[in-house]
Amino acid sequence: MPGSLLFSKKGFTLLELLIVNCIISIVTAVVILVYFSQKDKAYEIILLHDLNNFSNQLQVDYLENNSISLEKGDIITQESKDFTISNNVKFEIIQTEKNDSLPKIPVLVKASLKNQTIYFDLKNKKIKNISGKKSYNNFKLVKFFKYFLYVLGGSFIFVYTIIYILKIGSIKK
Amino acid sequence: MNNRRQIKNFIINKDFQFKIIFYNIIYLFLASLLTAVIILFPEILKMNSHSLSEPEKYEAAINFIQISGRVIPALFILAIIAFIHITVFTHRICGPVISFDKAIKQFRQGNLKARIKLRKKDFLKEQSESVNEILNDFADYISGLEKSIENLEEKAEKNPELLKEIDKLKTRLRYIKI
Repeated sequence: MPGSLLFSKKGFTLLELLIVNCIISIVTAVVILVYFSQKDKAYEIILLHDLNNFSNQLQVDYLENNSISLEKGDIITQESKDFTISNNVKFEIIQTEKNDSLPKIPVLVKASLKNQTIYFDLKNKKIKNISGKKSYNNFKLVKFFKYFLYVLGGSFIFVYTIIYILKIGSIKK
Repeated sequence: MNNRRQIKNFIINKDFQFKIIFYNIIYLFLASLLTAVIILFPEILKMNSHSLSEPEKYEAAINFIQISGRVIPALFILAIIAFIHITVFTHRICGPVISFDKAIKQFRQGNLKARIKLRKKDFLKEQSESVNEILNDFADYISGLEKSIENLEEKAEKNPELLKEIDKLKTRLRYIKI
């Protein structure tokens, strides 16, 4: 294929590389943004599912067995045999409430999985606060540009490292 | 005749190899992104669906985390392996291309002993053998012509006109050095 771009002796210009890098960086930034936001959402779904289970189990224990022995600061993980909790999920009892003649019952729990944390009101079965990277609700332009610049910078460093390490004089300035 | 190349030098033809590697990295990168998106997209749809129940969404979320935990490192490893493979592949293609180029240039300059020499794992071996056979035939043909001219010269010692014609023939063949 003489005359084709692949076999021509012309190198890439800086502008050509910049355009290709920009297009790829935009696509990659969008994919990364969606991926991380969906990952956070997945963490939140897992936490809420576990919190609901935990709340139901507590109610059963409290009403039927009356055998709750959780104190403020107690930490519950998958290894705690009394409760069914997903892998890597951690519950911390933040607040307990004492009724007359009945044992203390946890009312506020902090559930965390990786970078996602939820404060859950066990009494009303409601989320009190969500901290961490809750980015799936709105498409943040700032975040997109952050990822875009990371990918653009990374790809440029990668291409120029190849060029200079292998001493390829293929870029015309 | 110096037709040997450094085996360890993986970048033989900078422009050609860099272009192939560059194009392949772009295709590979986009293919990896597309693969990840196609694999994870059904779980993303389930997680964001309003019609599914909480346990179904929970299952989708667990699947999403597990699949992404396996697929993304696998794609990274695949990309690194493919990059190394592409570099070696271009090396094995560029080697024969340069050998062809050098041998044909030397032959054109009059070195009839110039032949295409390839390394063990180089591509285009059959083609190089064919070209070498053509070069052998051509070299034999030239040698035969020179011998015929010498015989003619011996027989035409007393014929000045014939000698003149022989000289012309010799001049035409002089630029070829055997």
